[in-house]
Amino acid sequence: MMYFILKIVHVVSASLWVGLIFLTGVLGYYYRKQDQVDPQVALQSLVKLEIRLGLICFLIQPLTGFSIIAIKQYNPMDVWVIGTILGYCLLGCLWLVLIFQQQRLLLLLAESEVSRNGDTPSFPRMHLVLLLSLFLVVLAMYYFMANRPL
Amino acid sequence: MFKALHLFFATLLLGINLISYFLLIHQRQNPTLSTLTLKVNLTIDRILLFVIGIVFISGTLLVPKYHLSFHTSWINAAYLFLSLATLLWLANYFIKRSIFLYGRSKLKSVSFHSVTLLIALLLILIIKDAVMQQTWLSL
Repeated sequence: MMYFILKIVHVVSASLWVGLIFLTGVLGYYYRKQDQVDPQVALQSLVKLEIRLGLICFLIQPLTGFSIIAIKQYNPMDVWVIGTILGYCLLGCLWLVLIFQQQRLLLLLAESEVSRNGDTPSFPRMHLVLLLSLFLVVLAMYYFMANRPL
Repeated sequence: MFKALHLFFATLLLGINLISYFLLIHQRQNPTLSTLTLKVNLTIDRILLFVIGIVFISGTLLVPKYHLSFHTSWINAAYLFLSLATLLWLANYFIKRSIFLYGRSKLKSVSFHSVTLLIALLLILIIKDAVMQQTWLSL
């Protein structure tokens, strides 16, 4: 029973995190391009939610994941276990970089040194590369877990 | 690969449903911002209806691949819950569209909250049935 509860919590927290990153990417882009609301206010509300909720979901993953490995006595040297752990570490690093970029953007917007049409062309490209990398790593992790030996 | 895509899109549906709900609640003190977020949400909802189609098709393709039967109770339950979730998603789309175009009212707010949470509950029930490979429904 504990295994099923842990697995459901693991899947739901992963869903929340994936949904959060997707929405952050789409809304972050849209908030920067619109002119109805101050982009800094819009982005700040988004980033605040992203950090709070994202951190909770991100911390639940290894707790439930390692508990499942312990309960089911999976071999930690299996390819899929190593792949998912490495994938998780990579996701964490990429996500930290994304948050750092968002904080830097908020700082520049607060200092009003950046026009909305992008005096910082590196930001959209960097964000896009980061988001695509995040999704590729997430897909790789899903592939490992979907094709693990039963 | 089908299974990974099926899992990815299914979890994306649940994630986007809940996160956009939390975001709209988080931004309710700023009506202009929440209206803006609602507008983007409506566009995402239209795209997600196609994603629901992908989840249906990939799920159907997985059944013979994993030597399961379409008469299995938890699979029937998954189809039922996903169909209900799709109808509720459509209803939620029109509720959000009405809020965006004509402003909020108590009825629309209550409908939005209850329908969104019901969609999330149905998707979580599908996950629970798939993990446990059994359902409480007698189908």
